Formats: sequence, C-alpha cells, structure tokens
Amino acid sequence: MTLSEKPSELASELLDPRVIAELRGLELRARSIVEGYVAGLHRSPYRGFSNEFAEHRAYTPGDDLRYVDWKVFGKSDKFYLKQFDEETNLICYLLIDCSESMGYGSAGAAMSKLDYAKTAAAALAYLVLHQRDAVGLVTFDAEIRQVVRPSSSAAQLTRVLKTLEQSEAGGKTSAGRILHELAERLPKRGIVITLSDLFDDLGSMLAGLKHLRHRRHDILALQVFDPAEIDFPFQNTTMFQGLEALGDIVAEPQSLRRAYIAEVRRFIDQLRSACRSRQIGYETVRTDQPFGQVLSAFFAARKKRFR
Amino acid sequence: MFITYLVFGFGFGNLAMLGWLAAAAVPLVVHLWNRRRYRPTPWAAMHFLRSAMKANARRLQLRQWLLLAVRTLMILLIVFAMAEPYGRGVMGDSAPAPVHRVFVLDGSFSMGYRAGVETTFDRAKETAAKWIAGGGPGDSYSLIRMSDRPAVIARGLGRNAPSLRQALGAMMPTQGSADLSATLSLAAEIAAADDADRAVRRAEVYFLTDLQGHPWREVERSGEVMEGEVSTAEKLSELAGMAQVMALDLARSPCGNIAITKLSLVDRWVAVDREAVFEVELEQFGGDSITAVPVSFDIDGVVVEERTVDLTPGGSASLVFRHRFDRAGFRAVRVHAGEDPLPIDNDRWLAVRVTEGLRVLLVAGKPGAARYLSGALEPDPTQRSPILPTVISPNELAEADLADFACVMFSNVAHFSATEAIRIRRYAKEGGGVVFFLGDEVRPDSYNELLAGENGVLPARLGSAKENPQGGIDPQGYRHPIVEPFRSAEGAGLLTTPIAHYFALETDGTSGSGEVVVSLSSGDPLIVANRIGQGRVVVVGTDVSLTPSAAAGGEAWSAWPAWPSFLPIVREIVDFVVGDQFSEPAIQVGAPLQGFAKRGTDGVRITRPDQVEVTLKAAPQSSGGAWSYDATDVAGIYKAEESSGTSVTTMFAVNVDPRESDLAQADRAAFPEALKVIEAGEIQSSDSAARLTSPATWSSQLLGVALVLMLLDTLLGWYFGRSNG
Repeated sequence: MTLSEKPSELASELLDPRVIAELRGLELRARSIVEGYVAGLHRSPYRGFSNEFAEHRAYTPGDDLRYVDWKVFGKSDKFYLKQFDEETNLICYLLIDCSESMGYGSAGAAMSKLDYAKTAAAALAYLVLHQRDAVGLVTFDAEIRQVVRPSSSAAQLTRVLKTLEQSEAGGKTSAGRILHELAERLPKRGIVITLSDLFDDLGSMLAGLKHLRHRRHDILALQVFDPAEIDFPFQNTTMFQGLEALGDIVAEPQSLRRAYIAEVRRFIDQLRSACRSRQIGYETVRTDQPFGQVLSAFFAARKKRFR
Repeated sequence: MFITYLVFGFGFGNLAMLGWLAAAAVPLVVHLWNRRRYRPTPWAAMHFLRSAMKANARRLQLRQWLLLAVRTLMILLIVFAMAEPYGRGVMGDSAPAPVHRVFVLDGSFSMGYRAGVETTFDRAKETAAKWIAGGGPGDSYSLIRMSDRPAVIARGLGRNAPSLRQALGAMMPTQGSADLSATLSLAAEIAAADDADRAVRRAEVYFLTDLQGHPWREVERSGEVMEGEVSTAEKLSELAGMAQVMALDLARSPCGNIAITKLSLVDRWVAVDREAVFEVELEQFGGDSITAVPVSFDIDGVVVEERTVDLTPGGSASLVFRHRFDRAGFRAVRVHAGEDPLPIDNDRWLAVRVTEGLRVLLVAGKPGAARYLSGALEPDPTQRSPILPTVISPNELAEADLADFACVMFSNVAHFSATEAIRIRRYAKEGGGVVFFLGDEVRPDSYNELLAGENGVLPARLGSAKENPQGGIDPQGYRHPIVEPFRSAEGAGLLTTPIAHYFALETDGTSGSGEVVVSLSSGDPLIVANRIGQGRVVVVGTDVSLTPSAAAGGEAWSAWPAWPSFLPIVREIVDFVVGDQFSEPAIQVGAPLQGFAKRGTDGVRITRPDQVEVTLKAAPQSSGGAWSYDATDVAGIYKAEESSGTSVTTMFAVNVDPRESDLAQADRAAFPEALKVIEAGEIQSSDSAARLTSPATWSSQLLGVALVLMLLDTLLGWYFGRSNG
C-alpha cells in the first residue's frame, strides 16, 4: 500500500464481513480488520495517553501527524512517529457466546453469528494487545467452556486466537447465569465485552450484567444479529426449525413480518433502555455490517473508562 | 333444474355449468397445499416468532378466512352467473318462469313466394332464429313444420342446442298444402307433453305463416263444422287453453300469383294415332293484369306447342291442346306457364297411358253370343280400330291372361267356376273393366253364389227372368256417365230400345250396392254399374245376341243389337269400365301412390321427379300384391317399375294443390280471440322481439358482485401486505 492509494476504499473493503469471510485464519482476519479500521480513521488508534517517550515506530496512514518526529524525518527522510509509554492497567475481557443459536447464519449472510463474533473478538484482541493492554477470553453456552486469563504478553494473541478457532456452536444459552458466575470470577476490573445474540431471559441477563457492573467493570454488550433475524425477509410458507431445541413452527412469514419485527424491536428497546439505566454499553451488530462498528464501540467504551 | 325452480323458486339455464362449483374449493386447496409445501429453515430467534404469532394469531386467522371467503365466494358467483340462474326470490321477480316456445313454421308451398332474394319461409326461419337467440336461458323450444303432413322437427331443446339450430337451418318449405287441423293437434300434443314441465313453464305457440286462406279459413268463426268431427276452431280453442297462441303474418303484400289449376284429358283413354284432347286452365290470383303469358305444352320433356294468354287479377283462361301420340306406352304431359314469384304452381303434369288399341276380351256363352258386341266395338275389321276385340268361349277363359285386356265382357255365359270368379274379382280390383251381358243360358244361382255379395263383383244380385211386355227404357235422368251422352239425343233410340226378356237386378242394400244406370218402364233395373277396387263392373240384364231362346218361346230376349242405341251404349259402357286405366288420376303432393305388383314381382322401384330412386316391397300375392308409396313430397312425374322379368313401368303425375295458389289471406277479423295475429310490420320492430325475450337473468348481477369481490380481494391483499410490512 502506498500513500497514493485511497485508504478509505481499502479500509471499507477490509471491514466488510463478506471480504473478511474470504480470509483464512483469525489472525489474518484480525489484522486486516484492524488495519482497515486504522486506515479509515485517518489517525492512529495507537495514540498513547502518557507523555513519557518510549520508542519510534514507522508511520502508517492515519497516524496523527502531530506525533511525526520531524527531526528524524530531517535526518533520514523517513516518517517515524514518537511512541509514548502509556501507564495503563486496562484489561479487556472478551465473552463469546458459543450457544447453538449463535451458529445461525441465513442464506445470504457471509458468516454465522458465531463466526462474526469470533472474528470481531480476534480483531479486538489484536487491537488491545497492540495497545499493550491485557486481553482475556471466555467462551460459554450454558456453561463456561474455555477461559484464557488476561495478559498483555506477545503470546497472548496466539492463545486467544487458538481458543477462538476451537470454539464451535452448541448447547443452550444461559447468559444470565454465566454473567453472574463471571462477575465472581473475573479478578480485576476492566472492560467486559460480550458478543452474544442475548437470546435469553431478559431479566436474567440484565441481572448478570448488573452484577458485572456492580464489580465495577465497564461493560459493552454487543448483541449480534443475523440480518434475517432483523429483516425477516422470508416470503413463502416456512417451517422454522428452532435451534436449542425450541421446537418447530410452520408460518406464513409475510403475514408475520410486521409483528415479528415489532417483537425484535421491543426486545432491543427494552435491553437498550435497561443497559442505559445501568450505565452498560449496548450495541446491536448485524453480521452484514462492517467490523469497524465493533471497534468503534470498543474505543467508545475505552474512552469512557479513561475519561 | 325445474324442480329447483318449483321448490326453491329458482332454476338454471345452463345446469351443466354448476359442475364448476367444485372450483370453489380451489382457494382452500391452494391454502392447504401451501401450508404443506413449506421450506424448512433453522431458526434461532424462536421466542420472537412465537411472540409474534401469539399476538397476531386471531388477526392472522381472520385475515386468512376473510381472503378465503372472498375468493371462494367470487368463484361461486362466477359459476352461478355462468349457469344462467333465473327465478323469483332475492333478486326480484323480474325473471319469469321458463317458457316452452313452439314455433310452427308454415311449410305449405305458398311460403315459397319469393320477394327479392328472400322467400316468406326464409323470413319465418330468420324470425324464429332471432327469437330463439333472444329467449331466456331456461326456455325450451320446439319446431313444427305445418304441411299436409305436419311434423315435429325439434322438441324441447334449449336455445343454445346445436341440434336446434341445425334443425331450423335445414327446414325447407314443402310443395304441399297445409293441414291446419292436424298441425293444431300436434302443437297441442307438444305443448302438453310434459306435465312436470307444465307446472313451471308457460307454453307459447307461434305460427310463422303467410295466413294464406286455404288452411286459415278453417279457423274462421263462420267456418263450417263437419258433424261428428272436432272442428279446427275447436282445436285452436283447445290449444289456447294450454298455451298462448299467436300467428305472425309474414306475407308480402300485395301478392300476385299465376297458377295452372287444371290439366286433364277429355277422353278416358288414348290410342296411338287417335287425337287426344287436353284441357288446361290458368288462373291469376291477385297482382296486376298480365298480357302474353307464355304457356308451353310438352310431351316427355319436349315442347310440342306454345301459346300465350292474357290474364287479369282474379281471372282465368282456358286452353285446349290436341295431340296425336305416335307410340304406345306411358307418356308424361306437362304444361308450364311463365315465371312468377311462386313458380311451383306454374307447372302441372299428367301421366297418360297411350295404347296401341283398347283390347277387349269377349267371352261368348254360346256360339254367336258376342257377335254383335264385337261388331259394335270393331265395325270394320279391315280398318284400323282403336278397340281390338277378342272373342273366346268360356272354356278358353282359363288360359286367357286377363291383364292383357282393358275390358272383359261376358255375354250369356251360363256359369263360372270358383277359380274364375276369383280371377275376375282380382282383375276388377286391379283396375280392369268387367261387363256382364245376361241371357237365357245364365244360371242366376251360380252368379249369385260366386259373383254376388260382399266379396263378389256383381253390382246386383240376379233375380228371376222376366218378360217386359211394355218395352221402353227409363234413363234415370241421364245421370250416369254411360247414358249421359244420350241426353237430348232421342234419335239414338235409347228410350225405345226393345227389351223382351230380362233378369231382374236386385240392387237393395242386402244384395248389391250398384248404381242403376237405366231401368225398364216397369221400374226394374236394366243396367247397373259399380266400382270395385280400382276397376268398374257393369251388368246388363238382357241378352244382346239376337239368338232365339227356347225358354222365351223361340224369340230373342231383345232386339237391341239391331237398334241404333246399341253401338253407342256398348262404346259408352266400355269407356266407363275402362275408366282411368289409361289416364292416372292427378295426385296431389303428399297423397300416396298405389298399385298392384304383378305375380312374380316382389318389389317396385320408384323413380321420383328429383331422380331419387326408392325400392318398395310389395305385399304378398296372396293379399293382392298391393304396394303404396306415400313420400310424394315433390310435384312431377313418378315412375314405378316392377322388378319382375318383364319390366312394367307405370307413371303417376303428382301436382300441387291449386287451392294453395291463391295467396289471399284469410279474414283475420273472423279469427277467434284465442288466436292473436301480429302484423308483419310489427314483427320487424324491436318491441315485438323484446316481447318474446325473457328479462335478463341474475347472471349480470352475480357477475357484478363477483367483480366487486375481485376488487375487494385485490384491496385486501394490498392492505394485508402493507400491514404485514
């Protein structure tokens, strides 16, 4: 890539789930997303929050020109940015819902909800670790499946990505109970990012989130939807085969669309309202939306934490 | 369908369409089919779906049932509309009960009157077709052709039945006249045919006619009524009791028509080289005076003479044509007058059997008994005579073929065997002429036993032999054709004919039914004549041989052969008994042709004027070998050929009824009130057609409602789709 190329076009392409889905390996996906996101911002997200110089690093498009070391440029005719040591104790906990419902991906979707969540989690881990923060990972369905303790070491990304790649959809959701359990187990306070469809009892989930918030975690609940779950685009008579053993329903989608969408919106509104009242970050994410939205939500939460 | 009308107040004009009611199940079947043809898909957000269904279940079900109801009702209405419902009830009483319309098309030949390119009969067909097309869906139609043999052409068919249109299209006027009385009976039979239908149907009978006077005067109030018979007016009244009867006047006026009303042979028989005289009469009915009307006279298709005549309206002209035939056999004579709008009656035919000479068989009971008879028939054997007598003895009678002779005369024959009696009777029935001259040899008992009575041939039983001292003959007013030429001809000496002895001829009801030709001054019949079958028989009560009789004291029974009246009376007797053997009676169209097949013949081939050949099977010889052909629907010459070894050909002339030629209409003012007459001008108007047309059925209303439902279905679909998001 050169400076003459249009970074915004490349960035949007790299954030497109359909493009990302073509890439093999979560690491490649994570790096592509982060670089695409960085290119789109026109300024680097790696800007520190400390004034103590640490090292130089090569300029990448989007870096804030305020941090270009013009002295080095005058000597070497190359752009280097001044890096500052950031005194940070940020721990980012990534909670990934691996229940059976997360395995759903409609016919037109580039990836399932779980794939989207895993990819987004990988990108977040990549981003957090590149900011020298610590990242941890928990996968769960009705039970906690795997836990990667938070760390900011260079090998942490490998552990996180390997754990994500091993995660498959299966089992019922019991998000509320899991959140309660994690509220007791997560040792240090940090940013808790949940990637889940949150298809569980609303009261139980809110109680769990509230419990985490009570432990002074900053929480970002990312509710992942397949586009079909929002738009309900079905035309002909359809047998909806419920995942997580929820039974089957034969229905005429056209006659139900309006009511279904209303139900979904009502649920989202209730969840959003409850989260807001509890100072819990909440965003809905469609699997056909660029991953940049996830990263933006993260940065918004991170900024809020250090405000 | 009429049961439904009777019970529920409605019926259907096209009941078969109701089979499409099954199509009303299609929306439901499609709905169920769609529910069975689903596409499976895994689904995570089940609780949203369940909530949506739970919240909208009743509304969705209502929508589905509403759409199903609209679509089903739409199909039902369309099907019902196509079934053409009618009746009373919610849609109002405008639709009447179905009507059974009987169209009686006057098929008499006067309906063939052509004005321009269209005949009156064409107008009748067009009118019937138009009114059938404009009738109600539940109506039924029958077609009757009024002719001398009225016939049902179609019966109780729906207006759209192809067979009805075909039957009407194929109808043609006949060359016959019209038997209105029989037609009324047939129409009444049709109108009253189905009691079940009558409960819900009105019957209407329409006569499509020119109201030509010949048949229609029968219904005039002033018409004569034959005692013991049901009059035509009474039949009309009976028909009017079960149906509305209307006569539609389709005649063009004024109508003029030339017709040949008579073609006849003056003489009873025609011989080769003997002048035959034909009388022809032409009449003009209505129209304007016409001059120089060409009239042609042809024999066997060859015109032999042409003349012209002047005709005035209501006037007639008589013509006489003379012709000498140069060969024997049946000859077809035709007279033709100039063309006019009704050409069928401008021709008239006559079949003439020309003989080489009239062969007469004389059976002499004793030598010389037939001498004077033979002399009277052939006075000069050296000259060619139109009558050729053959004299035989009674013993030779068994070998004689009577069919070779036009007449057989028995003179003073003593008695007959039973076989001879049967042969004589058969010969007479088949048209032969038989004459019995009596005499002293005659045995009355034998005559009475074998020849008299119901199965005999004698026109009178023989009584005892009597003397006639007073002499003289009573001509009975010259009424009989045999003696009619003697009227005002006293010089012929008929009245003074000397008769000395005679047999009393008993003609009372128990012994005979003959007609007395002449009688003696004593009052006893001397000559009695009668018809038997197609032949004629005459008995003369005295002897005509001038032979002395021992029983009469040595004197002859009569001196008649020496009297001037003898030759003419013998010739007149021969003419009378020969009768119509050589000139077949004119037969009117529709009348049967009849004949007797010769022995050894099992069939007769009829060649019609239209050259169509028909083979008939003759009755067994034991029953006389009679045959009859009654399909004489075309005027002209019919040939009958027997299929025996020696082919015998007979000709019959069939002519139209001249009464039908007078196109003057009957006086409708004299018609009974039961018969309503619609004028020709009124028929042309749309009002008249509308009067016959049933009001519209519910079809249009049903289709209108179906259209509304169709729009409603579209709107509901749009609204539901919109509300579904």
